[in-house]
Amino acid sequence: MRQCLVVALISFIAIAMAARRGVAQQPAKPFDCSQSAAARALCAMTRAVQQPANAVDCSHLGPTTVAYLRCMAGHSSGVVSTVARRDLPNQALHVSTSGVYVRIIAGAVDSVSWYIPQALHAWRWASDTATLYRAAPGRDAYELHVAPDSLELHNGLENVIVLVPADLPTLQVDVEGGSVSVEDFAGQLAITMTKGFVAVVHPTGPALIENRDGAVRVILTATRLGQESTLKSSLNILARNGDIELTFPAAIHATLDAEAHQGTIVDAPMALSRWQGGNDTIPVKTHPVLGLQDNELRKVHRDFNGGGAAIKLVTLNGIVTLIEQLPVMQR
Amino acid sequence: MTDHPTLSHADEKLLQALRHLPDVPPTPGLPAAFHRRLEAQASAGRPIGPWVLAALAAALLIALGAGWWVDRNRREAEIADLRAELTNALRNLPAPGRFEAVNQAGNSNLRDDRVVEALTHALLTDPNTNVRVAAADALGRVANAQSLADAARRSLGAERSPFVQSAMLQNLQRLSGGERAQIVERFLGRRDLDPTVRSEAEQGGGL
Repeated sequence: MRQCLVVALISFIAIAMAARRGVAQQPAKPFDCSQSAAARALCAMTRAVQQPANAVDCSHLGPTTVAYLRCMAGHSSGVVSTVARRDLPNQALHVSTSGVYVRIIAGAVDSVSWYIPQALHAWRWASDTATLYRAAPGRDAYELHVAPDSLELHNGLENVIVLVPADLPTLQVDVEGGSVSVEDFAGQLAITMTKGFVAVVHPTGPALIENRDGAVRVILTATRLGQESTLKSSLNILARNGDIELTFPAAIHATLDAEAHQGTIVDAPMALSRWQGGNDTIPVKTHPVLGLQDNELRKVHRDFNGGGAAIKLVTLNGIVTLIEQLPVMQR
Repeated sequence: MTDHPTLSHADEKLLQALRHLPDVPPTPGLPAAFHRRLEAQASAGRPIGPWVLAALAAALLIALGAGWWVDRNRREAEIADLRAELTNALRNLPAPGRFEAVNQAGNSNLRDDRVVEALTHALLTDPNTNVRVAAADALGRVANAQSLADAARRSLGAERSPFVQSAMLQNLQRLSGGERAQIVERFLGRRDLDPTVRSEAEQGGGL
């Protein structure tokens, strides 16, 4: 009789675990790159960075030149209509934007530079430190404000490229609507997004990211030739009403803590296809699915390769997706 | 045959020869050496006097007291350094620097009211949400129940970020059921709560 009870108990536990796993293996909801202009901009900004074969080496071009800016921005053709630059008066830059899709790239420049890869025939500078505006008939008045330690971009500017020196110690980015991508920044980074999409590519310094209404995508793998895929400092991401996607190199030394309050934590390559428009050609390593049952705070703790830099991911209402990207040699 | 049944014939002959040898007298110095050895053994086994025990106890107490005093001073210095670093970071550093300082304070073994006070200040006033969440997590590790309850009341009464609210709600598990329920009930009276956080508060508040 006692043996029968033990067998029944073991069977019940096995069935419960299988059912739990079955719930967890439900595919994550797909991210739709076409759901909004901001989503399209984010997908376009980060589409190429997971394809190291497409990575370009811009170092042979003279820094601060138009060719270098164009190379770093991934624009092989087209006219850079305006390039403005100024010397940094201190060691911190504050960028605030609204309704703008902006890429901020750290590179071999000795001052902050930006350009807009659009024809800007109707644009003119009101003054060197005031406003760049365009008030064409039927169009919004675009604004770009420059102050000694800050840069403001407002109202519908698309694909604005801002280059900052690679050794800039601190960058603070505040965004109210739109998309922002920060690439290859090694200093202290803080991003606060009110509503929209945030992408951070290959950060190596400490990074604090908060998106109050939208998704966050972080790629820790190197994106340009000659770069090393490392995370030397902590990475903290808070997302409300949005997914968090983290792509990391297989050899990373990190300690991960992830929380999904209403959602799941998945460890699967399926997210690649949704972010890359169905062209999933990146080999990744698949782990057991980590998600748990609904209506339950899900927490995952994991040491990668013995642990290291602290990574904390928290989403209140969304999916945390972990993607381990294999090194190039294993492909 | 031999007299002894277990000895061989050769051994029996050797035994007979030894019986005819003359007696050997003891050396002249042997008694004195024997008495010296006997005295040494007697003095070694003598019980320790009470004054020796008292001296040893006093030395032990002095050593323990000195160790405690040195340790207390070192600990005070560490707490002062930690609090100064934390206060300086919270005033002067950008958000990632403040975050690191708060994390260090939360991961240290130094549980002190002054450190808890600085962390509570960060929880209530820092402009960066990530820093406030880190302060909430740190308080959950280093604050005693009373300090934690005070910080929770003040934070959950005014905090607008659901991330910070959620972090503080998780800390409430350390409080007693009645105190936790009182704080959560007051928190649930707010009308601006995120639905996810409200649900977690209702489930975890013991209401």
